[in-house]
Amino acid sequence: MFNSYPLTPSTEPNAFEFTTEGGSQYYLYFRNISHAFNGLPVFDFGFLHISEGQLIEDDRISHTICEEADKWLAKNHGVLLYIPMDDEVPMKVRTRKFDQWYGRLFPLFVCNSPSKNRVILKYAEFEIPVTVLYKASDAELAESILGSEEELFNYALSTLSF
Amino acid sequence: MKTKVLNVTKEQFEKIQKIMDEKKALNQRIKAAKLAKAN
Repeated sequence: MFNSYPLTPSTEPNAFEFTTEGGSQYYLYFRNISHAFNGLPVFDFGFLHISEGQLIEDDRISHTICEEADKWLAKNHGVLLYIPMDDEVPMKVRTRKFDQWYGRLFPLFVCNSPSKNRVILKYAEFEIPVTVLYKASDAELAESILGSEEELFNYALSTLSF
Repeated sequence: MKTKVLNVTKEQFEKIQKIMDEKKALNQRIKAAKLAKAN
């Protein structure tokens, strides 16, 4: 079972807050970004430490965040994207941390076989790591967003020059 | 876990960057509102 903190709904839609035992406050949200994906049900999932002072980390923070993602997937049709913030903490560090949480807590998920893919979006010399979360019944939707292995292979072939 | 490298078009990349910019702005707005409330 998750050992999560209780959530308080925020004034913003689809957003919540929680306070840790150490007094740190967190903000957690789900944001519809279907406009960027031709109207497909794609949502941005984010969380941030909003209180002043040093963050005192504990395991319940990851439990709370991952449980909400699990609940969201169970209730909704769509794909969740975790796009890390690009600030003083490198994106790859944030992504790695989220992956560790997700992997550790995976046995606790109640959602119907949640799946995950790490995608590196690459354009020229720029790269953005994105974690894609979805349930088994939305695998086809995830594939339509990410592109199938076959499509990627064909794309790779098309870029070769002889 | 699978990791894919997805080569995207400039337009697709710019869309994701726009989402990231919106996310950064949202985070700043939330933090500022929280500080204003605390003070």
